[in-house]
Amino acid sequence: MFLTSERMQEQAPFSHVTDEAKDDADLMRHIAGGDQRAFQRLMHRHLARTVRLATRIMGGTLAAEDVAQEAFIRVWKHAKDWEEPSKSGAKFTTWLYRIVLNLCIDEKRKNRFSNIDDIPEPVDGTPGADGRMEQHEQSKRVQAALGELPERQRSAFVLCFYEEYSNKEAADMLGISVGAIESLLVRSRRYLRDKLVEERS
Amino acid sequence: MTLDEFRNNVDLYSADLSLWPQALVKPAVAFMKDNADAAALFEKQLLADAQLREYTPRTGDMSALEARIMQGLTAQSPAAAPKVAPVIAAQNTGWKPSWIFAPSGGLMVVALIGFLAGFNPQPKSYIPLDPSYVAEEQVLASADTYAYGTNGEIF
Repeated sequence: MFLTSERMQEQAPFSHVTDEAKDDADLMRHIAGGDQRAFQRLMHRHLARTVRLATRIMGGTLAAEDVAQEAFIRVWKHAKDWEEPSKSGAKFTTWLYRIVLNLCIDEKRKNRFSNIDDIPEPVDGTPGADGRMEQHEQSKRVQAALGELPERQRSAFVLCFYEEYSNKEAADMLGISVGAIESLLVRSRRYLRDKLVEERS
Repeated sequence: MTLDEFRNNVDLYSADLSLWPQALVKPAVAFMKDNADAAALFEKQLLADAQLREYTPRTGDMSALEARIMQGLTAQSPAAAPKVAPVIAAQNTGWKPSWIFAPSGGLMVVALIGFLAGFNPQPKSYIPLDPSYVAEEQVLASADTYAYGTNGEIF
């Protein structure tokens, strides 16, 4: 493997250890008792980020919103099953994103041959649209390159690069070892570099 | 540091040196100065990272989705959801006691109760013996050389 555990510990400053996690735990206690307002607050805090994560994994916003919806309904239904960080060592977001990743994988397997989000969007003819179109094309290229990655590589890359989770946290979410995450990251970044830069040049 | 080691570090930590372990930064910078291949690789990774960072999916207004989710909650109560014992859940055994209350489980329980109600380990004969048969048996018994007690013991 490429790294030692000492190097991993040096990455700790990038982990999301904040008061937000404690507040999430408080809200989850209320949600387990059926408090809809607590649920709404928790959802409001995490929904946009959850949709972005799902979009990067799924490759489309519509499917990502469905995944996010199902994930939060599961949070509500199974709030009592969630164990506080003091007991399990896992934060709410670790639990939530694990649900999201599993749902994304299930959805992608179900809809392997039909993705409505693959339909190209209509061309924008308004002034100043050139720049936006170029940016849109760029986003499409990145999205396509991400979509070509195997599921685990894509999940590992999105969690560590976009969501800025530490390797340890991403490993917990995916239920694999830190060594396996490192291996997935190395392969995914190498592929993306080749795809986005070397092939283009 | 070799070129392979440098490449592995770039692949693992990206071209953002602030994400690299502190101890590796100076050797990596020094290596890039001496090695054109390493510098070119780092440059490519910078370009790739910049392109990747530009990709930010537009999430738009989340209020409609929030409302949709809240609507979906009305049918779902956390209290109504089956509670899995924490220890069992942690072991991830997949065993859930709620199966007893599921339709198929309920049918099995009812079938078992029905079977037990009809089952008798000591069946009784409800057909009365024919009196002629009883009399014949007494005659045969009296012809025996054995003497029978009232409880059927042999003397």
